[in-house]
Amino acid sequence: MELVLVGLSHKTCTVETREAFSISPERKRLLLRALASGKLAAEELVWVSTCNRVDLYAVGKKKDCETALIGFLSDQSQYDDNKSSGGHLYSKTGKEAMDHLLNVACGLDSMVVGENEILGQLKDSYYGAKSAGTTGRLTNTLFQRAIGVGKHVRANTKISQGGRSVAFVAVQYAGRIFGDLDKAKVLLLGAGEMAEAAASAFAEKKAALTVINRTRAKGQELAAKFSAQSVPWENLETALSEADVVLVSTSSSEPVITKDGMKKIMALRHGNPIFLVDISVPRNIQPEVGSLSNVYLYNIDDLERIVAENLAQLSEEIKKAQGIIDAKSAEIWEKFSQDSSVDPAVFTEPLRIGTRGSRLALAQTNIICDLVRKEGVEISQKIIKTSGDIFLTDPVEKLIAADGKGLFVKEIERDLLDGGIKLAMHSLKDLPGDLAEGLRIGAYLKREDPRDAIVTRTGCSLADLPPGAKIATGSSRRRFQIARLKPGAVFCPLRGNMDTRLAKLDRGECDAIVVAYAALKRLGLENRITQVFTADEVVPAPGQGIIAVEAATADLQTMRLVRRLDHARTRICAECERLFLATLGGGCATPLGAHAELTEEGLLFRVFWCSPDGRQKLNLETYIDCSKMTESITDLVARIKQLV
Amino acid sequence: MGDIPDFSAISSFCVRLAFGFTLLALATGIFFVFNRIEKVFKAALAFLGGAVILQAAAFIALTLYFWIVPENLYITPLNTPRGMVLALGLCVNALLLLLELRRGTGLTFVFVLPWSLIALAFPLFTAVPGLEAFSSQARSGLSALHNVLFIVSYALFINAFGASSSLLLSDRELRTRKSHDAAFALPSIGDMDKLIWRLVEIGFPLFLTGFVIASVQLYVKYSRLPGSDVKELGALATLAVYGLYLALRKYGDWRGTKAAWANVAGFILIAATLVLSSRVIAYHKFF
Repeated sequence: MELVLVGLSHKTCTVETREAFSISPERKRLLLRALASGKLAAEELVWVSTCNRVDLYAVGKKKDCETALIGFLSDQSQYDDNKSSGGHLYSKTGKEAMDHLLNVACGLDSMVVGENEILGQLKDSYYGAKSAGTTGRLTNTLFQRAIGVGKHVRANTKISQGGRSVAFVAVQYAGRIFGDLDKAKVLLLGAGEMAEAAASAFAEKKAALTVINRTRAKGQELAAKFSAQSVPWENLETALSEADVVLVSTSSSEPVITKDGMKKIMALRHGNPIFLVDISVPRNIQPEVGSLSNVYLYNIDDLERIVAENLAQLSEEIKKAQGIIDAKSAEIWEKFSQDSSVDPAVFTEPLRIGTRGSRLALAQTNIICDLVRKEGVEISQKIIKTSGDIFLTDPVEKLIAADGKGLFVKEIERDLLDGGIKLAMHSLKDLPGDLAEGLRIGAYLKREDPRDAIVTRTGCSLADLPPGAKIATGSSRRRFQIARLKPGAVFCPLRGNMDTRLAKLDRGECDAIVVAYAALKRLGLENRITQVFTADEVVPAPGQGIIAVEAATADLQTMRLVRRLDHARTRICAECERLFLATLGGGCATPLGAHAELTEEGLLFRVFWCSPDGRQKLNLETYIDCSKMTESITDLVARIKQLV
Repeated sequence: MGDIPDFSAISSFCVRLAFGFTLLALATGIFFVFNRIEKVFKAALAFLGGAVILQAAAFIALTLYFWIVPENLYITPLNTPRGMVLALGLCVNALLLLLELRRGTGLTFVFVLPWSLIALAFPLFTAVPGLEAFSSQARSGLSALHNVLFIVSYALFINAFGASSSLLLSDRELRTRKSHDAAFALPSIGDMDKLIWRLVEIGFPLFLTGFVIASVQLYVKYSRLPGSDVKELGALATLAVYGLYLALRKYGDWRGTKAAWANVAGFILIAATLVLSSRVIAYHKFF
């Protein structure tokens, strides 16, 4: 898995092209759909779409992901130039992509170098992606660090300081006289191009604008663009007495503001300071006006000289910023590489993975073993009997009541803590909310289809089963949900491994059994499935279809290896479901279904809750904000508790 | 007596530390003006906060020291030279801290803290007076009240001087079209003008009340009105300058640089009055 960046910016194309490639809400949905369907060959994704750039940062297989991202941008753009879009797109991978992100965060890649807006846009993009559940371990780390570096560079260099244009300098110097400009009154004398540029700069600071122009219509036109007020030329004296900043850009050959006139105006203003900016050539304000007390007069030469000084200083600051970026980049990349790469040589003997001994457990463990071997590390299996495997005849609810949660994991976890095994394989739905101290889930493998399936003896669907048909299931969650789909069905308990369950069905002890689709698939028994329920019909158990790999927190090398097996999108769903389970306080005996699914609209969360006697039932569907998962889940649980 | 802590030594120790902290606040404040590193400004504020706490501790320790003499119990040392300058330094620093916490300009540090250092230098370089019962002058409650009013108003005027100096510097930098770092760290002229107005608006009535109380005491004791010694004349002139400023600010056009110069003049008068009355001519003979 590698960091891949595909994008385009003001450096590679014109604004028209950037517009064609920008990520609109509709295109965002398509992007998320492509990510969910695996078309992007990426596990994590963050999109940054501003007026100056469209960047897609993804974590995936280098070549496939790069090609897919380029393909997506090219296909989805409304770009109809004769040139191929590839001419405008850049693609970078690994450290080069990370350096690009750091440069963007620090404003070094911006059109106006050092501008602050990009940092906010980057944050918004990151949190947008986080909310949609498309970020993961690598993108989370990278974006958080990049935003940090962006702040650090701005705090430790003067890259964001000093105006780069005449209009910007005028705003900056006005700020030195009046502080915040949101209460300042700005008067524009003249309605030319320079006046418009200045108006735009002052409007950004929320200053109140007034336009005076000899040709009233032109003044009104400019005023309309900035929601400003337009007053007739005859009211110039009154307007000057009320304004804090006056920008003069008329084409008059005679001074519009004279020293004597200004003296009168200053008397009307009770000596309040005024900032006069004369950007007209020839000058329209008598230079002597500047000698009056509390009158600050700047002309175009003054402003241009300041701009030149700022630009000269900027090149030094860019060097300084680049130095900081280089140092931080090396540091981040080293940590990033350490976290994401594993040296097989550190594992001097084969890793031992603990698992239950059922055929399904072994099939699931084999999946992990194959992935570990792909990393070049040898691995062997150790079968551990759990309480759940020993007392096969007792109902699960009874065992939990007697032995607490963690019926299928306690013995495995003990061995993991004792060092008898280095890894443990669990079906996530068997794992209790709280793990043993010192242990952590290092990886959630890519989720298998989490839905429930029914296997009937005769091969007919649930609807075609005769009234009073005997359906076997050990789960009260399945029982209550299927009872709603098939009123009149009779339910009987079912335990044991998959082969035992199927044998009971085949012996005619029941008419149908309900099991997890993923279990049948992993055992190669898909041909036995009669019907697969949608997640709306039967909400799966939290964690269903997910294999979790547990390891000791202190065993850093193993943990690093395990993290490489993690599937970011599955992790988000798994964490959401487990958080819900923990917040609600349910165990595996509670009739509770919870299923999170990353869709193009966000993280769709389905809940089924039922009271133990089956009298109260609740089905709920909502979207969870992944960036505020704890708050969202807490709110949801509170809502559920109110409803029931 | 053996169990009583050495309050005199504690007070002196706190003064020494407060001087050091104020010096550090000044140094970091100057550094901030030229570098605008936010952390440095926070450090300056922390040093100033530390100095304020130490100055308060020094004043409390001095009070407790005087209270060892039973006749002095529950009388503050505000009427003693040491107590007065300690309280003045404390007020100046505490007010500066409040203003900087709200406005964060950093620049006023440069203009205000040197005066705090001078106020702290007096107790730093002079010995704590011997233990004896306060004189009748030092015991006077009205005297203490007029001193408190003068100290608070002086603290306000000194901070107004800091704001005025900042404004004048900003004005100078704007007129010379400077774009260097320190110029950009300057507070805005409009903000400083409002700050000066607010400080004097509060300080002037306090100063006037203090002056009236002192005049009443003087009349009662000596049947004369103030104006016969340097301090009294200085105080009258100070009243006139700040009163004139307030009137012209409100009804005329004394804003910006004019307002700042008026405040600089007021501050020079205060400084001259204090120095002349205490050092050059004789100490202010009130009783």
